[in-house]
Amino acid sequence: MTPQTLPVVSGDKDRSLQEALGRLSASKAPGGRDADPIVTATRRLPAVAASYAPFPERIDERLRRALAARGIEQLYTHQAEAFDHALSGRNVVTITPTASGKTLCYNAPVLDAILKDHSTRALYLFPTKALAQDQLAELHGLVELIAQQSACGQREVPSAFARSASAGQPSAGDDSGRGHGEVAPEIGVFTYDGDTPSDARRAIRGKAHIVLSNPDMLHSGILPHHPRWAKLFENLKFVVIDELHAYRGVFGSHLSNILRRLQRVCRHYGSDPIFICSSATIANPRELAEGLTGRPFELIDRSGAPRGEKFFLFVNPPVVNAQLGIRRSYLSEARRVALEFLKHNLQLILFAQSRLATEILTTYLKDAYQGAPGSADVIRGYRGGYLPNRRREIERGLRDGQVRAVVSTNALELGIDIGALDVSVMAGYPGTIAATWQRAGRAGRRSTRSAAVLVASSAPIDQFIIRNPSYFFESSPEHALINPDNLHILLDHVKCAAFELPFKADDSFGAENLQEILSVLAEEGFVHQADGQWNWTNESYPADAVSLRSVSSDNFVIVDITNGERVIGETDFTSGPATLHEKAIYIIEGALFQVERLDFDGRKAYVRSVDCDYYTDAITYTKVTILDTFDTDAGARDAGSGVRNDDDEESAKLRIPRPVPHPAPRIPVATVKRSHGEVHVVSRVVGFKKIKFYTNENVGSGELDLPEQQMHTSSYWLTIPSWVMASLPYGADDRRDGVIGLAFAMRNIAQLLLMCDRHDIGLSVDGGFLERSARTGGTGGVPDALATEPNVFIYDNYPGGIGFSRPLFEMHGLLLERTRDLITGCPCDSGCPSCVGPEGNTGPHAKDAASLILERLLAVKVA
Amino acid sequence: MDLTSRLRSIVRPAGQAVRELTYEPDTGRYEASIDMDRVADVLGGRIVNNAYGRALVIERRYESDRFHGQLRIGDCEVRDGDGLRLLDPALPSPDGTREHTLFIDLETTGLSGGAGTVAFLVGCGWFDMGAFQVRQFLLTSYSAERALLSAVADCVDATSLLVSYNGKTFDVPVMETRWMFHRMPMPLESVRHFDMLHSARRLWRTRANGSEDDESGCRLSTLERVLCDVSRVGDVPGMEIPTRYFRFLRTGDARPLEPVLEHNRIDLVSLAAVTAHALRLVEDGTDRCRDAAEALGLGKVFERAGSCDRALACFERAAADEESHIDVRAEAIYRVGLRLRRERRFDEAAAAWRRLLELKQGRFGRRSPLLAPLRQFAVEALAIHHEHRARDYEGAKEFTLQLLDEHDAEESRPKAAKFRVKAEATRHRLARLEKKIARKNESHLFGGY
Repeated sequence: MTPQTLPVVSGDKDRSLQEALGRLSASKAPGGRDADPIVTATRRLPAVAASYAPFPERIDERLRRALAARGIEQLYTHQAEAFDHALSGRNVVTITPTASGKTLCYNAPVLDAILKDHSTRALYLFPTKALAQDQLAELHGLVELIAQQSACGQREVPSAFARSASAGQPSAGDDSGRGHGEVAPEIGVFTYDGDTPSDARRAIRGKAHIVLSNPDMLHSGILPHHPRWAKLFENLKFVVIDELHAYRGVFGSHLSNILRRLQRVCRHYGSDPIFICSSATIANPRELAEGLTGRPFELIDRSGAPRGEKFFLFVNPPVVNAQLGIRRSYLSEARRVALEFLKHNLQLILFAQSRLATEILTTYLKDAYQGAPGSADVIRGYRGGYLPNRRREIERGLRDGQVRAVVSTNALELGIDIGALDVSVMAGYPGTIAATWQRAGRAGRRSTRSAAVLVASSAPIDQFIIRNPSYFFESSPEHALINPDNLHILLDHVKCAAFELPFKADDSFGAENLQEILSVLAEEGFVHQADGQWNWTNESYPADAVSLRSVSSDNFVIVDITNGERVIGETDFTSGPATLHEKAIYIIEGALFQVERLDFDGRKAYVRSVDCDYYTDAITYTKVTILDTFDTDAGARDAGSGVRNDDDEESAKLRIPRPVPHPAPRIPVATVKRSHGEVHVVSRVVGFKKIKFYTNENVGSGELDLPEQQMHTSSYWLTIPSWVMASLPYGADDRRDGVIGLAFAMRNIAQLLLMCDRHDIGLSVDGGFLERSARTGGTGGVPDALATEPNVFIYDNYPGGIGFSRPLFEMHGLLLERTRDLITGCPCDSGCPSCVGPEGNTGPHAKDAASLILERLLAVKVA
Repeated sequence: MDLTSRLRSIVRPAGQAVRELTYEPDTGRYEASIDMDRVADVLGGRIVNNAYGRALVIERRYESDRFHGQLRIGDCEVRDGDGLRLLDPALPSPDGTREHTLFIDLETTGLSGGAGTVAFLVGCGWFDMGAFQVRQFLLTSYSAERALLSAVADCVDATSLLVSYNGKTFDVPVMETRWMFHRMPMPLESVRHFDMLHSARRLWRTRANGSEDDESGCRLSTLERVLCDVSRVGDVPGMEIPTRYFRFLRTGDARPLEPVLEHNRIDLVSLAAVTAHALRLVEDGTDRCRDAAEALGLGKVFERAGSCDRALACFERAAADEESHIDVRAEAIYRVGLRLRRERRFDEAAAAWRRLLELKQGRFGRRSPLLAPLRQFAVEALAIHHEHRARDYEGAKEFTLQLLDEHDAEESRPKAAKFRVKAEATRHRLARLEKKIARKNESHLFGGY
């Protein structure tokens, strides 16, 4: 274990931080010295000094002076590199930590180009409206400085204007005759999003040099109206994509198609913009940028920015029942950690894994810490589904220090301006290395000391990370995956693209055969081919039917009927049945509501305020049917060599140290099959459990009758050969428990390898498997397939798939090895929530059976 | 599954009810392109040539002695002058160089706007020697759009005034988008534009029965029937129009388009007729009004145009009509009071407030949502009047107490918070009045000694 050395820190805040960290580090496990430690890792990330580079020689003098006026006499190395690439017309993606001056990487070249050629236009995309508002203020300041600096020594004082559209109409400016010499031209900077008043839109279209928007607005408000934006598209030189890492999975797949449409429209107007992207640390920023835009990119991955000292602690809640492997609730542990910092008057952000956990933690903290009597709420919750006003109020409270702690989902992971907090506590591993660093980065800025604490839950993934700190601290982060050619998504955007501009008979769009897609759309009356082109022949506005956050745009709204009717939140369609079924407890900012009625067809859940001491957890039944096998790999020798090769590749890519292989018994030649392909998934919420707050006791349950949800998606699956099953020294029930336990652990490792959210992949074992809470629903019976040759499916939890299955197929060997490490490395006796699932949900031999299965599967490869 | 089957399963998921086809099923046997000459023959049009190619034009002439409903075509002529500026004070004066009023109405492939919404039929109309001339431009294929847009541009080029129905919001933006789409100059950009819809809403939104039924009430087809007694026979429903056009594109059969062209022509003639009717209303004033509701609407139009005397006359006319709906009368009396007060005729205004309070609820058997706030307003206005003008503090107190009652009645309503603020102000007024009364009594007392 890493020695717990905490260097001396100084200053009031630093002393408080040191005290709090000291107390945490000294936390003793109840079992004495030999018990497994509570703090499993303490790292000090030293302060880093800045490294600078001069401004490029070609920089516009007015911009250089404006930056100098802001105290920027030279650039950080990464800023200078980005500037240089942009000046030379190369697409560039920069990966830099939080607060490293990444905005200058794009603002400098864009403003430089506008100053040199006043017709230049730029489009900035941020994943959320709030981020665009933040950047508007930043740009506004810069533009103002340019105007002031240029005005020095000039008789004519040009006015700069840059403001949010909501601030009113842009001032009428006379462009002519200003765009030359040393006088700065007016530079129009505007946000253009759903909040922009319609009377301001026309003016913005004409006057904005820089349009700050988001993918949703580009998709439904700008591209479909491109003729009105002719001036922008004719002169578009830069497309800036900030927070690139946010565009993975479904959202990324949509954005990729939106950018295909954008580039199509640009070609129509004769422009060819370059892309400047910035991303948090992920393994494949260049690949992601290239996948999203279809262009080659230059990568800048070394930051020249300075960084304050940071302490990083890993906390594992103590084991309270060694036999069952039950640890103290990680939420209680996170509460203890957070209170330690709060008591030392340190401002903190507490990240929770789910909306539910956010609400529970908010309740816990509010119960325990009230702040000064009469003061406003010092503890706030924050998550998607809150209405915008409430969110802005919380952000303000954080900046001005009124709010001492905010409990948030990943909604605050992105660069929303909430000021520099002192501590970031993560209740549960955020799921990816990238997100963990991102969340840790919400505490501390360039010069201040800060701390980040990761509290592990008993989820296998968390336990793997917390027990193997080097996996986190020493390996590179994950890959961001997208699948722009998901047919559901592609089809939607082909419609949008056809609405925007007619397709020609030799056009292409994405990897699939466009002409075939158009023919199918013609069958349905959406398009019509005549005179060598496909025209949109439908009354609808196709962009309206697409939701970029999901594969379908459906959602449920939550209506509070306690006192009149009031909409208090929303939930996407797929998670609706599991969270809004009748009698479900719906929690928003600590307030509890019970669902009285779910109007499934009307997509509304009617809730009433209640006072109770439990929450609910749904039980979902899932069945997978194979439709089409894209690739399969069977046979001992083939599997062995094939898997080996992939394995080497993947290990190298992910830089995961490979464990020493176990000695293998001699096994007959047989078939271990890994496959991936298209599947049909039927899932249904069949019941729910009532779980008591704090103790997590199961205090009741109920049955539900909700409509099935069906989808076609892609899946990876493992087929366990019958001889492996037959060789297990257990009865049918225990064998099945072994498979279920194995599947439970595999899913968690898959999530780790894929950099995805828990919700992104689904798990099923054929023959029937209760996915969220194995076996408590009690459907009984051992399906035949399970006893003979079971399949373990890990499928993309989105219609059409979002590209996880093939990588998983390729990482098959690695997946099995990591799963073995997880199970055999777990200190529990016979299964726990951290490896094969809690005993009680699986049988007493689940852990042993799963280990044996894995041992035999892995042995095949070396046989 | 092959790509096409997978696509089909997404576009048309299994289990989805077979929906009624709103288009000709695509048999794949459609024509590669449509023969414009044949379409011209079928629809009775002609081809015009310009730099961008060929465009199909259909012309019809409505002679001046023909009738549109009860109106002679010749009487539908709209003169570009002061009358229009009474209806729309924001309309600039004619510059005098050109004098050509053009009526415009589009049929489009959708209502959403955007690059994928195409004006497949551009209908233009103008008066020529008392007759109404209609020229329609029909898009026979998307590839011929530039030629059509160029031909339309030629037609509207000499226009000094554009008249439309909802054209500011829809027709002109759609045309501009089309021209911009093809990077062509926009001839309508600086043309003066009178949008009849806005005036129609002001004049006729409040129906004689007091209801405000904007959806159907101010539709052009409703107004032509109510105002001009026009009845359409075999008219195509608006929602069916894009479908017919898409079917034409697939089959090349232009016959189903004939009713669409006719629909568009009637819209143009009715637009002229309704505009002419509105002009006569503002020119003749209150005498021409059919009923109190129209007089009330006309009064609002006059008021907006700054023609206060005529506005007051209209409101008085509506207020005096005992036959009309209580909401219409209440609003008319309220506006009479406002006008009088603005003219500093305070006693007459106070009389109007009293008249408002005398109106009885429920004559038409339903509770009027409008009356309660107007009554409150009147009570408050009377309280103010008695306190500050008549200096009758007892009277003012009386009204203030009445106002408090009215507030209490509102307490249970959804916007209770707003009323609480008002009630607070009222209590404040009451306290002040009581002080004034006390002071007055004191001075009487002292005066007595």
